Amino acid sequence: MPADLRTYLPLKPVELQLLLALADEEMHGYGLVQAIADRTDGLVTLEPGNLYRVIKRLLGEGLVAESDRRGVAESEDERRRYYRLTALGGRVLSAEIRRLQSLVTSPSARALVRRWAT
Amino acid sequence: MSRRLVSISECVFATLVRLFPPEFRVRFGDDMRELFRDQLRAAHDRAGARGIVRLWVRTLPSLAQAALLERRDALRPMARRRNSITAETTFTSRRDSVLETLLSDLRFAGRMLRKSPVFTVVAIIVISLGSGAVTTIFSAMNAVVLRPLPGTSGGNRLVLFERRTPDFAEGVSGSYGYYRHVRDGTRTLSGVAAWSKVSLSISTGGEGAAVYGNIVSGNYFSVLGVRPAIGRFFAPDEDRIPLAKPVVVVSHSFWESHLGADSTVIGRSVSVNGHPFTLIGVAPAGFRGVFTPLKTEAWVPLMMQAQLRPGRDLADAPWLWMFGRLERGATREAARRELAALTSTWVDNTSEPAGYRKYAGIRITDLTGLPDDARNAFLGFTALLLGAAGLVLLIASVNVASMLSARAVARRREMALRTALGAARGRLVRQLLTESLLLFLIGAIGGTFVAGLATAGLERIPIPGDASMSLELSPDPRVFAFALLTSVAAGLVFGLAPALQGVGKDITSRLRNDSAASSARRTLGSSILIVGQLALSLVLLVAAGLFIRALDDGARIDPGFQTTGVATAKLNAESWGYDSTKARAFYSALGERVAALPGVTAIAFTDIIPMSNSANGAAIQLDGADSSSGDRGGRLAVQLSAADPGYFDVVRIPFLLGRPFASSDDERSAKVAIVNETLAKRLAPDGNALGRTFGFHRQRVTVVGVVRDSKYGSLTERTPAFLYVPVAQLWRPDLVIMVRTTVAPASFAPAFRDAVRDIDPALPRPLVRTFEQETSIVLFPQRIAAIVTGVLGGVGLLLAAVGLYGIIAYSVSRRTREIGVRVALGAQRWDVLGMVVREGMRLAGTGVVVGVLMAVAATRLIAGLLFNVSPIDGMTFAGMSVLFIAVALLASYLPARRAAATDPLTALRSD
Repeated sequence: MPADLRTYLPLKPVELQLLLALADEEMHGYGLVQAIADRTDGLVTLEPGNLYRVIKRLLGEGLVAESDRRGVAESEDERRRYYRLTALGGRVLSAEIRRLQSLVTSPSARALVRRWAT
Repeated sequence: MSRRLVSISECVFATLVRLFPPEFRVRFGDDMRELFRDQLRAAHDRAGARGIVRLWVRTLPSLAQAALLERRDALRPMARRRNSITAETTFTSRRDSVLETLLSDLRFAGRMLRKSPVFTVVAIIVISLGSGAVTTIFSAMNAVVLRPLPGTSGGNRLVLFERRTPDFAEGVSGSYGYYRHVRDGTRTLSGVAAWSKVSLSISTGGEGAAVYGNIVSGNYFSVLGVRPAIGRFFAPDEDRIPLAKPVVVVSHSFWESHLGADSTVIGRSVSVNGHPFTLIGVAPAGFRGVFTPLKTEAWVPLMMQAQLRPGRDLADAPWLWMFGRLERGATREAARRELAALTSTWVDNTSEPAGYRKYAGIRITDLTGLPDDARNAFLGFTALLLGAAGLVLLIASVNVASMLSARAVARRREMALRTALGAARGRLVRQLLTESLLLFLIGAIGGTFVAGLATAGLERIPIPGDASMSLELSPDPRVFAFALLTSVAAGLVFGLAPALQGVGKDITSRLRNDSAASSARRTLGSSILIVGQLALSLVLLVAAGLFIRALDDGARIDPGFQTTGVATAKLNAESWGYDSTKARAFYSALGERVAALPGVTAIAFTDIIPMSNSANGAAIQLDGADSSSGDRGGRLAVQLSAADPGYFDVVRIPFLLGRPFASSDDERSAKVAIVNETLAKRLAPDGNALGRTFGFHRQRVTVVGVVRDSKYGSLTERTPAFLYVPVAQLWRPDLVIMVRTTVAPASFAPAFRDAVRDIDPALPRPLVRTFEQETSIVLFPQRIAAIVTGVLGGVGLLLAAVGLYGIIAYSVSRRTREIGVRVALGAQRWDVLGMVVREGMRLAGTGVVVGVLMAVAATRLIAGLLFNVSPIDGMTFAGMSVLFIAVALLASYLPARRAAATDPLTALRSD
């Protein structure tokens, strides 16, 4: 893993979910909230305040960017802003996933799961 | 109802977004609102009102936290490096640490409140009720006169101006020439617009719709800064050449209700008052014109006046109201001076009738939904109601203060322990204060919701008088800000004492939880709080009782005519495009048909309905000008109304002398009049007024009858000199038909409408209302005041009773042991019951005494609205005190019953 990617890791659960959701398609705020709630079975919920705090941080770090796409809205002022994953975001996301993979596939993790699995 | 919840939620959320730092808000504010709107809709569709509440419970804490964190981050100049521990702690400015403390205080407060959910929920409900009371009234004030007109932009620079006498006592509207003179001459106003009312009937094929419309200058919308929802507003050439461009703009609601919200209607031809007009635009939703109690449904350009209000020479007549937009940098005072100067050049250089010369002054005020005089009356009235609502907030705050102080007592050990461990006293006070402020803040949000629902209820109270009269009172961000401010103020005042009390100085005794002395002080303190609540609620009850008495009294005042059994309908022949011949033919045909309807005993045509908020003023020239009368040049100001031969049979005003009008009193015969007693005395101070003459409209008029004085405008008016002239001799195209009938209005109305349709099927369906409905406007302020103070009194009494219950129950629980001993020693059930109830009654009795004294002082403020009811009306005071004692008895009986059931064995073993 390149050293510069390491500074972004580990991702917080909310960030991971958000990037994962954007990896599939470009989305606007409400779409993200719903997608994340669906993916995590309601474990990770986002409210307007913290969603945009996270987005602001990820934008600042260049992991996501505003998309050129604008939603079809009922009126002029209801133009939704869409977000997309950047190339850097994609690399960070895959690095994080690889990190998690090596974590869950490590012998000690497997042993642990075997012991405590219900 | 839950639609209202959705709209208020959006408004509250929009205000809360302001908690975020500006840069964040600019970047994400709209998106956040949008996201919340989506969540709101989803929650509402899924679970209605409950879903909305749940969404708020979830959103609010995270939103507040995110906002504070964002503010803290904004203070740190360097971007934090991700996952770096050292960066978190290095940059600490003063404001930074304040925010840090606030955050941790808030988190702790949130945890503490969540730990005792019952207390939290009850306290929030109580504060919401109190805050909701004041917020509701403020919302009404805001909607009608405080906020800029909905739909306009830059509303704070819009001003209304009016020509007035130099002392501002009397005003006059402007003629078209005067309007042009001002519009072209002003430098302090960037635009001046003019408007007037006009009755319109608009038809898109088939039956027409009668609506309230405005006839306006071409720049009306641009001066207001209103943008069309669809289509366009008036173009410059539509404001220049008379009758050249028949165009019309309709309101959003008219577009929805009559045009099926179809956006292709732009450019279509519609019939307005019988003439073809082109529909060019739709005003935005929410825009109701510049006189908001009346819902304006359509706007037509001034240039169409000759067609819409035919037969009137309006070149010199004053019939326009004006408003303008202040130029940037221009002050109101500069504008006033300039307009006054323009007015005096106008007076000097034109042949304006001499009577208008006295209107040389200019009054300039903010443009709100009401003209100045009405605004002041409205503000005065609502200020009284706001005072009453303030009492409820006070009761609620005191109520919560006593809950907080009980809680403070329960948490003394915790506080003493924290002090002993080194917590600064100031820090603990701040912590406790944060808790109460948090409660009051959440209560303010609750209060805004209460206000939203309560104003929806108020809007539903029908307003007598004009049929298009309605109010839109919904809260906006300004209202929410008001709720927040009042709640925070209440929270500071009523949260501070319990917080200080909770963090007393004497640690050791509190650690030992030894509290004999302080508990006596506390009991006294909470007794005072409860007596205060009881007294205030009694004040409200007495006010409500007085208004109810006034309503009853007002209904009994004899107006001098008989309102029962009469149906009325206003007929705006002018708006149907009828000329005078056609209108006369219509009225005589209608008269014949209606007279033949079953149950009809008399019919009359007149121009105004008595005591229904409309009046005609004029001046007559007295014969042999009597200098002692003090009337300048023998002129006497009178009020008048048109009447026909059937009029006095319908309204049943008795004749003292002479005869009613006859059908022979028409436009060709000699001018005649019937006068009231007051005018008869002026015409013939010592004798028979019959046959006397006076000058009116440069003609000789002979008195043929004298009728008894009655009420004309209001129940409390000083009887004016009043004059009736035959409809045929004072022709107006718009008349009212009044029908005395023995059948119920519900069955008369359809028969009447059929009669109208038989004559002309294209006419809009007339609205049939009873005479009583029309005159009920004179009691409307009393009715509103009775409803509002009644509800407030009920809420206040409920809160006070709950407070009383709480304190008695608390005292019973503390005295369990003592009561157990008493029972063990042979006290009977009745003894215990009596002992506890007596304790409650002692508090309630003190409350009654204090409350009555306060009410005596307070009700003087409403004396002007009470007709003949005395503001210290004994019956009301006694009745309300009895009601009050009964409720207090119940509130102390419930804990008493529990005390009486005390089992001595368990009681003695306890503690």
